[in-house]
Amino acid sequence: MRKFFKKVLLFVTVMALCVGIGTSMVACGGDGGKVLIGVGLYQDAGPAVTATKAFLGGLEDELNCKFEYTTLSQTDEAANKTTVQTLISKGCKGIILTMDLGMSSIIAECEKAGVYIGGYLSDYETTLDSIKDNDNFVGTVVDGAYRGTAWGEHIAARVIAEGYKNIGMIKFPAFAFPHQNEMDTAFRAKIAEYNETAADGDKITVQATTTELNFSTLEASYFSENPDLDAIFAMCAGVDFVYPTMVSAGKTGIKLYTAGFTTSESTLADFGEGKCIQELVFSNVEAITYPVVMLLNKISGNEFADNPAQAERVDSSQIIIENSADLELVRTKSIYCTGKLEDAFLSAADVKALLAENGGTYAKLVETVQSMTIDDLAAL
Amino acid sequence: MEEIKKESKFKKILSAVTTYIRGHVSDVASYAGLVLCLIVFTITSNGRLWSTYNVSVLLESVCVYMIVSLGALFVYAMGYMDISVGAQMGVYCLLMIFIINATGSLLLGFFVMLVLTLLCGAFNGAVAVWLKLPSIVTSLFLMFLFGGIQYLMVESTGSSIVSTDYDFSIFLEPWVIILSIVVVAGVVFYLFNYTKLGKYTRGIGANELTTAQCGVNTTKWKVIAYMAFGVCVAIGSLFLLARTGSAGKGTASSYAMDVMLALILGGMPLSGGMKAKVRCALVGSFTYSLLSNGLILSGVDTTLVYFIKAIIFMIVVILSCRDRSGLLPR
Amino acid sequence: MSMKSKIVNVLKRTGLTLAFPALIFVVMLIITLANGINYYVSGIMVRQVVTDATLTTIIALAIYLQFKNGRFDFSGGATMILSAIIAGNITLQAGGNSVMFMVLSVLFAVVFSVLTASVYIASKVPVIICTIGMTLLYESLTYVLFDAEGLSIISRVDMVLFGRVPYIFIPLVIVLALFIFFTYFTTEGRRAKLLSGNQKVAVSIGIRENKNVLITYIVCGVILGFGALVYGSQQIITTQSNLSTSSILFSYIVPVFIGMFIGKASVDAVGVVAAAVGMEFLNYGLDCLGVGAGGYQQIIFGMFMLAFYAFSAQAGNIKKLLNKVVAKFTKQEKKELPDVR
Repeated sequence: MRKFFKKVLLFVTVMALCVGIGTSMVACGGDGGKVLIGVGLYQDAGPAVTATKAFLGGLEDELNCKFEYTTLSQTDEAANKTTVQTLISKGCKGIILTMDLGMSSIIAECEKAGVYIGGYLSDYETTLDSIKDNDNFVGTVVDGAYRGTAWGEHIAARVIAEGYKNIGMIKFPAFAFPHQNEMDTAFRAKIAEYNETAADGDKITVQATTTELNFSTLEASYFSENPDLDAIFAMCAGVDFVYPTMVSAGKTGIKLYTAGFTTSESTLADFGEGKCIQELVFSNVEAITYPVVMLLNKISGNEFADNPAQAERVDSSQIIIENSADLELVRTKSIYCTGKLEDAFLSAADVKALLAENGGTYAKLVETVQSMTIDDLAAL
Repeated sequence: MEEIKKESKFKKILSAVTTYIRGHVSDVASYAGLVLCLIVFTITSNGRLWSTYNVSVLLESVCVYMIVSLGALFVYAMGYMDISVGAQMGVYCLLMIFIINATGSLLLGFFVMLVLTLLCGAFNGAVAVWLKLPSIVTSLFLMFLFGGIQYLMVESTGSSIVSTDYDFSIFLEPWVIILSIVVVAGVVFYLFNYTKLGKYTRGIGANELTTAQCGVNTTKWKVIAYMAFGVCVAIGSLFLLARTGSAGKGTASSYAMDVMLALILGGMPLSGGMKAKVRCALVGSFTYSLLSNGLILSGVDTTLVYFIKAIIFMIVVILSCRDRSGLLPR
Repeated sequence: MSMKSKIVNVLKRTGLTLAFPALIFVVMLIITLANGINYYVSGIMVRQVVTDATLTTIIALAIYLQFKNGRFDFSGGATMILSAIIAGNITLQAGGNSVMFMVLSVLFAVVFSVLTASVYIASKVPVIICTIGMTLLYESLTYVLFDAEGLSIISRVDMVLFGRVPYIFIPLVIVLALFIFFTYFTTEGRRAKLLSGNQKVAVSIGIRENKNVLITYIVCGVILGFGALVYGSQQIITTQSNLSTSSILFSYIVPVFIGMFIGKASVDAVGVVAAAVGMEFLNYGLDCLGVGAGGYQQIIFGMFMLAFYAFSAQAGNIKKLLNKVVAKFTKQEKKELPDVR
């Protein structure tokens, strides 16, 4: 028992020493006056992460802020809460999150700490209704369009134009990605409309029930079950979840229409006319401007004259690559591929001009994040 | 003359300290690891480690690890490991949410969860013995079973996460967390050091055959040890759920490995036996939480956080788990 | 024993071992046909089973080699993943091909295995703890190297030759031959068996354990290198952390347990191959039935594993019970014979 108490005494002494050192350092320390903004990304590395960091890094001096990066968990909400708490401990006044897993406890934490939160490339499907009236939530920018209808119709138009007759359908489970149902329905409706006037030999057959991937790559048995496909519409991230199986099953003769992008040269070599992958899509990293501006407004106590009454979910434009010329343009001119700030749609000065204190408006901010298409890239 | 006396006194003290450290390397290494982390992170985080907010954050994350690790002591002291604990905790959180949403009663939810943990404990302890299976096989089975159940439970709701509006704020109060840790640690300390449960579980870990030949019903005490672990898992799951009020497919998925790492960091021998101590769980889980928190507060790049954690882990285990007996330890 | 009877005996024993995958195949065929699925047997199925079973076999043999010698090595998965990432990226940058990828995978896997063995020998830390530490270290290196991008070469036909039929048989045959040769035909292999049986006695009679551990890890490294080759050719590899590679260990340990039992009739390595093929027949069948991924697959897999292991552990008792029943039945028959005297 004496030994135990000696150990406890020693431990408490060390703790007291550390607390003493610590509190004095907190009192003396500072962050150089810059506003600290935490950014929780959905992956550790990759071209999107490199481009995001390059873009935000270029804004720091102009906006007098500093960005702290961390990675969120896609499955563990307690881990995300811990991550946000650590960012708050670091002194972050604003936090940008790429997913809303654990959001109800996170927003409560931010309320307690007086920290603001914004979303990036996420529609906050499960939590937006409960947090949009919360003063600490500034809104979110979606990766592309919130509704999937337009995308489904676009792919249907391509399939019809390019003459494919037997279409496979793959998506993620509805409980995780409900808007893929909208893409699915819109696609089928468009094809049905075409079939009404098409000759018998020209009718298009669509897989009766869409295959759902449980967040693992497509199984090769899919091609045994659907032996006669000439094209696949993969509403999920087909480049990562469908294409690898097509390669290993020797089915790259089937055309793949999907969302997602990669900078892997070996995969890009299979994109284009006559190749397997027919469409690539990615979201602009510059869309992060929306939560950055909204957070800086809140932190500085300024507000747009036309600020919405509730926090909003805003669509953003995406880069849609349909042919080799588009791909070459993206490779040479998009920050996503080059990782260089000078290739971004917006410069640091452009972003600064969007702030409320510099006369910016909410309408202008929304218009900015919705004006970054492949045509806009070509015009740069 | 006085100077010579002072010098010899100093030499005596130094010699005593060195002798103590040599004889208690394992104990010293795990405590030293913790103290070193505290000092280093205090400096490198510019003192932010000790801000009121961060201390409450640390307490919140340490609480679950510590309570589950304290329960895991009984299992690891026998030389076994339970890799299903993560999947089990995920299911228990979901189950509590369903019951609370349906009945409004936290007590009922906790009671059902407790019964389930006791059943799983009995399964792990008894079935392995009756069917003559290695403990890892029953543990693997429970991991697959609960992992599948967790997935199906979330899928059945039509949403990616399941949540409840129940007010868990009382469980996030620092005094409640500290009190819970103290109570659980006190009970485990007593059971482990002053009752047959602790004595026999360590005996089973040291040499099961000898323990059985001394007249101990090893099957019975294995079951009780697993059930004791189950009680701690139930309490840990409650605190885990209290943190977010929600659960999903991946909730608690990493806890099996995290608990193992925490115990190893605390100096726990995975072969069990007499060297198993309560401080392994206390020191190890605190060090483990501190590492993650401290490295990020210190501004270490996320790509290097894992590397530094791995190096620190290796240093601590080499100092605390080294076997000098001459043969390569297995 | 004559040559003919020896051959017949070997075939009988191998047949017994191969009865396991055959049984699984027949059962899944019946279940899929009963559910209106007539594409269970197809060219794609054969290709899928062969490629998946090869990877399973190689990794299972690496785990088994250490398991046989009394060591539970946590670092196999991390060694394989890290070797694949480094070898694959170097080959990509050098504009290399499949052979270069193979050589580099084996080389790096051996280097990391030797490093693990060296740390184990020098530190004298229990093997599970030591290998957990090395796993954490290797996993952390996946973040540090090559900008944390992992490896994605699955569509590089020139690099992934050994991950596809028919060239996938080359690493499989090499690994099998190496495992059998080392375990049964080398002195160090036999010494490893002695050490796993009784370490103290084996060391007392002069077996140098450190040397044996090093050599075993080198052989394991070669096997893991081929595993890295096949794994990197079939999967996109991402960064790993917090012992996530241990899931590889726990997934591929099931064919090890099953293979140990069914291999008793013949050779344990053949048992592991048969177990891997059987499990892939099961997985493919579950895919066709629509329960290939997600909750049901995990539950079915877990129950199958428990049932099989419980059966194998109780095989002796089951045999005794059957003998009793048969004896009782034959006694009864004797009782019923009329007395003709």
